[in-house]
Amino acid sequence: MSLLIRAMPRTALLRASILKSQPCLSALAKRESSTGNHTPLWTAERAVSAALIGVTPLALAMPNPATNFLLSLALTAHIHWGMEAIAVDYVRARVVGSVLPKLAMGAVYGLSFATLGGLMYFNFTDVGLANAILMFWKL
Amino acid sequence: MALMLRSIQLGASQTRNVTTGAVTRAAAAAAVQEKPELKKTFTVYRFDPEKKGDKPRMQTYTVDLNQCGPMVLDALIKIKNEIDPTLTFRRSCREGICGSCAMNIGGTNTLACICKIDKDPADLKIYPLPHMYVVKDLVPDMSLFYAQYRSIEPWLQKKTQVDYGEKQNLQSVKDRSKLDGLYECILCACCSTSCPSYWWNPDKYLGPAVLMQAYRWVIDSRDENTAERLKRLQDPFSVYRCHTIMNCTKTCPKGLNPGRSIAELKKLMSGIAKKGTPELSGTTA
Repeated sequence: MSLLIRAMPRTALLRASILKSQPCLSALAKRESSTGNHTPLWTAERAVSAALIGVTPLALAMPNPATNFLLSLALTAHIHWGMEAIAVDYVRARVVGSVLPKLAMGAVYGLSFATLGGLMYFNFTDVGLANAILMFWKL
Repeated sequence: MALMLRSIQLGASQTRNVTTGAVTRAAAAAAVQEKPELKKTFTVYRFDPEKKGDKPRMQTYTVDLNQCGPMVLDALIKIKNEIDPTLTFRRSCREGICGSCAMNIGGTNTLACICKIDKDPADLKIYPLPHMYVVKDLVPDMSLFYAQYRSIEPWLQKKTQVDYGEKQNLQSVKDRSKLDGLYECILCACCSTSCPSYWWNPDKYLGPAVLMQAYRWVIDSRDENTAERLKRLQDPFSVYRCHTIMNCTKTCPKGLNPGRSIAELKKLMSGIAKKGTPELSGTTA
């Protein structure tokens, strides 16, 4: 019998056996339980971050309802994802229990929707976000 | 004639040089013996979790640097040999290639064996790698780190059956050069334990060291399981807890750049970058 090693198909089995054979590795099992595809969201985050470099000066250069809308939406999304990362990183179930992380996440979403709603209301009923920034700058 | 004269002069000057050299050496030897004490204090983290009721504390040791090697590891060995044999730390190669003596020295994760002792008398604080469970004193528990390394399956994977050790896998020089800066990692865990994201989510985030090795196998032109490897990392935690803080790159005692590897992984996962087809494939005849 030669030392024949089939590399690929064993891997799933091997990983399962690693997890089973070493009970101290429950943390690793937890990583395996972290499911879902985060890639599209990450790509969207990068796209919005990159777009903000263009959208911000554009909105300031020509403030109108369309650019105001774009700026408000992009800014809110950008800030929301940042806040969400903070909540995920710092309000962790293994530190503060299972209730508080959900509350924190709810607060982040509530704050983001309130921000977006407020900015939209401001855009439609007042001078708009870009104009407001310009006026603030003049002070 | 002139040449002869010069050679005589040269000979004479050389003789003089040798004489002065010998004198200087003798003086230097005397100076070594008479070198004044150059005291340096090392404040070292001590903790023995197996001793009942023991709490972490700092213990100060004073070492004469003129009677000690240049590196922090030399001082630790001297302390263990001459002052306190209970001081516990890991070390093996004493030349920065095994990764055993990774610890937090003066606030920076590095290898004690390649970290020079600062001659100024200020106190040097030495802690175990941050945010790790302590086995004893400067010895952290690395089992989770190693398990995470194992979880990325750090070995060559082929779609077809391969008899290892019988034929060589072909790889072009250019494809091989993509592994430079990746394969040198010694898994000392300095980078992972300097990463705040790894501090906060070590159970789910893989950390820079392991992710750099994940990238090392993803980008290897001989490995054929690229898509599967990337798919296994796509959950919100394994890779995406990296917020490009870059402590990893700043602290790496081998001068590697795990932060860049993680960025490359993210680019490959999002499809912004592609791996590219291998310039050479298959095996030797």
